[in-house]
Amino acid sequence: MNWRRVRTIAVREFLTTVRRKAFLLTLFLMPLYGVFATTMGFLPTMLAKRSTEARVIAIVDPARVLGAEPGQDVAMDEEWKARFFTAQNDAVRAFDKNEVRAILRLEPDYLSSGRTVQYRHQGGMISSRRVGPPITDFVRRRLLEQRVDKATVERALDPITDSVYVANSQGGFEPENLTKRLLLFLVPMGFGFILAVGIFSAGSYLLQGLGEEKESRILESILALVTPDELLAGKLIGLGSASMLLVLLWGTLGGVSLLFQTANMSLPPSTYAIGALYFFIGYFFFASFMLGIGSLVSTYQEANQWAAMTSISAMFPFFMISAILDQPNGPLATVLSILPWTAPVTMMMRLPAGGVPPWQIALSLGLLLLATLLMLRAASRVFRIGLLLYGKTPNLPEILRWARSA
Amino acid sequence: MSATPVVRVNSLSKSYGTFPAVQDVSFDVQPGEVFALLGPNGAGKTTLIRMLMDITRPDSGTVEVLGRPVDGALKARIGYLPEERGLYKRSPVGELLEYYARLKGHDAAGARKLTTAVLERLELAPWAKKKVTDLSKGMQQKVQFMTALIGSPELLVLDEPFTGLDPVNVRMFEEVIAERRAAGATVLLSTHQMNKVEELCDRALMIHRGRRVLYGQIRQLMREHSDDSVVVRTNLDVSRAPGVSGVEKDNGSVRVHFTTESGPNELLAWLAANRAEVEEFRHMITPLEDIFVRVVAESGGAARSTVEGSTEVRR
Repeated sequence: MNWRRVRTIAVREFLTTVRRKAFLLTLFLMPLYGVFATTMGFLPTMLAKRSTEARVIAIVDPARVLGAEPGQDVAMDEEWKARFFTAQNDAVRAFDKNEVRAILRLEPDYLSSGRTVQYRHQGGMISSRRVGPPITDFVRRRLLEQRVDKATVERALDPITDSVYVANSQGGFEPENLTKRLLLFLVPMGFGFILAVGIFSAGSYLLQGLGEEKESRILESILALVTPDELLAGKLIGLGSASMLLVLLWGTLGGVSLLFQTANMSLPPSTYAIGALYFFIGYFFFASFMLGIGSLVSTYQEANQWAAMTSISAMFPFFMISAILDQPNGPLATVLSILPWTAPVTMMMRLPAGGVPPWQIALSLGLLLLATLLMLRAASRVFRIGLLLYGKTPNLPEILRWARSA
Repeated sequence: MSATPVVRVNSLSKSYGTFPAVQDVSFDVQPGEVFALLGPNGAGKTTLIRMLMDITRPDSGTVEVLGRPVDGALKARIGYLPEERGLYKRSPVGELLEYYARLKGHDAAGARKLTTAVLERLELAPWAKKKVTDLSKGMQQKVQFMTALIGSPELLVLDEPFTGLDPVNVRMFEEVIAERRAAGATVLLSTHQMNKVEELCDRALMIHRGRRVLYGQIRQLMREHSDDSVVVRTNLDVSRAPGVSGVEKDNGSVRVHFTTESGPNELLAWLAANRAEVEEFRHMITPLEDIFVRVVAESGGAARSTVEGSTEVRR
């Protein structure tokens, strides 16, 4: 292997990739999209707060079980008020004049039957959900306040207020840190996401680049100058570097934004080191798989389809994220973090939660490394034969025969 | 031919599944010669060239180029123009050529210098900054030719270099090939244009259905496949000349056939001795194209090949 040629190929692949519009869009738009998605999450609340629309609910309570006078306004929470009526017609008039947003009617036998009726405008899924909880809490509180003492009301509404201690790695307990709890959710998500997008975007560029090269028939003249292994290595390194650029930028942005959100971000450095290892080996595993596939397809379009299929199948742990985060050391998370195909993403979700036995990390990394070496070897063989194939895509037995061939 | 051959191929075979693409082919290419690789479509030429370039591995047999098996280091000393044309379409021409020069082991400055030189020689210097996709098909072919020429390789392997070129560019390619040959390079040329082979090449190998069917000096091959007849226009009756086995009248001229012991020299001597008035005396050599067609037709069964002047029949 001539490393000077490998470097020449790697530099070209890197420059070609980072100049691609798709790469630049991914590089800069993905963080912007993150900011946009977060903002959109807060937007309904922000808009609701700025809204000048009446945030009043009419409660028609003919039996006065909630103990309020007709026409009396009572605050439900910081935003919403309840206005009491005894006659349904009065409430409907207020609704028609837009003085109240909705009407809650408690039937005269409400205490025994629990029957209520709501009247509100068409649609408005979000607003109806927003209105729901304060009414329930408010009705519950008013019912209790009419019948028991204030302290019991408070206890009934908020029965468990003790401090939470969580098991730590020293075998003891420590007070639960809410920031850390947030981090335990955000960091694995972020880590897994950056890792997955970094690996798969590079893999996709690799596959698409190869598809383009096959379509433009340039490979024969390149292979007259370099060996297939040099071409394979140059592509892996060049595109891996482009992917590293993505990961570094996003990782830095993610880290900085987390620092802004919390001053108490402390993950052990070993998590980052292990993360880097998973990224590095994981990238070579998936990239060599995609290179092998890329050498077999004939067109850019076919390459794109394979890139998407590979990425989606390897993103499988994300579909299982709630199960993995709920039980980071449970059987599903353990198995997924050991299987090479899902290990990089799953292990990065498990690690920040702590408590992953070192043997599992060692086994997972060892298997991933072994699988990567086997994949590289098979890819190199398939690559050599597949590169100059045009037209018919070979079937699986043919591919396996090439992968085994010397 | 005592010098070490630039290309030495020994009993090379390659099959794709059950299809034998190349079967037991041997030949060599001598330093400084222009060697033709001939054969009908699907004969196995591209497979043979790919094995020569170490792009495809043979099932059996050996290939040596410039005295040793082809490896990564040796590839920099070979310039290859594949029949399957392909360039990075969005790359500027100059950048693309520099990339090829870098892959051949030249540093950045050297690669730039070589690129400038080859662009000037092929008269494409003003297009150096244009993207490949902005060039005409003919210009793209010139760029492809330049990727083979860059770095002055010792062996040039050119697969159908003249396809799609206008006569001016064909002339330019021929001149460049001649220049490279004069500078000491060896050229292996694969083409279907038999007139070009007759003009440019010294020796030829022809394969059909993966097997060698013709091999040797081109002039000698043409003589061997000609019946040694001459066309004469004279005032004497040449049928009376000794050694003449038959004559055919042909538009005022006479085509003369000889017995195996006689030939054109004997007829010339007889005409001189008889003080004949000779207006025309032309040795009939079968054009390479006719030989090509005939050999392909004949070698549907047994394959005939000529080795170093002798004729052998293979089954």
